Amino acid sequence: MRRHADRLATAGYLTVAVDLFSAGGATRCLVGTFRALLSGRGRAYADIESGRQWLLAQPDCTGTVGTIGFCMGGGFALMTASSGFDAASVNYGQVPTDLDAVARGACPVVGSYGGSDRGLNGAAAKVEAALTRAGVPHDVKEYPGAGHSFLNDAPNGPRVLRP
Amino acid sequence: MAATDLVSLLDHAVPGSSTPLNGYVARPATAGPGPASWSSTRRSASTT
Repeated sequence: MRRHADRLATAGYLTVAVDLFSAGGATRCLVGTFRALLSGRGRAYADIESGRQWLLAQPDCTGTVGTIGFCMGGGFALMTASSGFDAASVNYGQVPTDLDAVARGACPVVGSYGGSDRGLNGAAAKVEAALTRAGVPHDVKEYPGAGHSFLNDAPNGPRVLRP
Repeated sequence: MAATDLVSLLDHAVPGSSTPLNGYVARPATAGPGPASWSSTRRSASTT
């Protein structure tokens, strides 16, 4: 995540990677955070909003704030796209059950999915269709042959989630 | 090269946030294309 943040800063963006596991206990936090993602409510959403508020308070912030996430974070980027952000980048994020409700009022969305990401088969098409129905500007692509986490620049995390 | 830091986000935390709440900040060393290039997409939080 730090390398992702560094890469965004190199491109000119003031970036904060919110530690959604700040409260400690990796396993407990991971379960709780995934639960929040699926339910659409919980501490993780408050943490993300706090990160947005922190950015807005920085003297070097332009006042325009986007959200970007990968895997679970991609799911959160999609879920929070209607929560005050100016743009959302959803990278192999989970598709919520109530996708149409999530899409309503969303900021412009860039979505990127891997065609060989078996866990998210058909996700790009579903997200694209929902954003189209909601009239949200979007650019959703599925990249043939790409697996999960294809934007990582190094093999890390569980093997099953590597590209 | 970005300037990086580990910070607490609690100063601007909204109710219900984690305590502590940490973040990794990366600041651009020089101005890049950044947000100015997509300002036309800006939306108001009040519309959400």
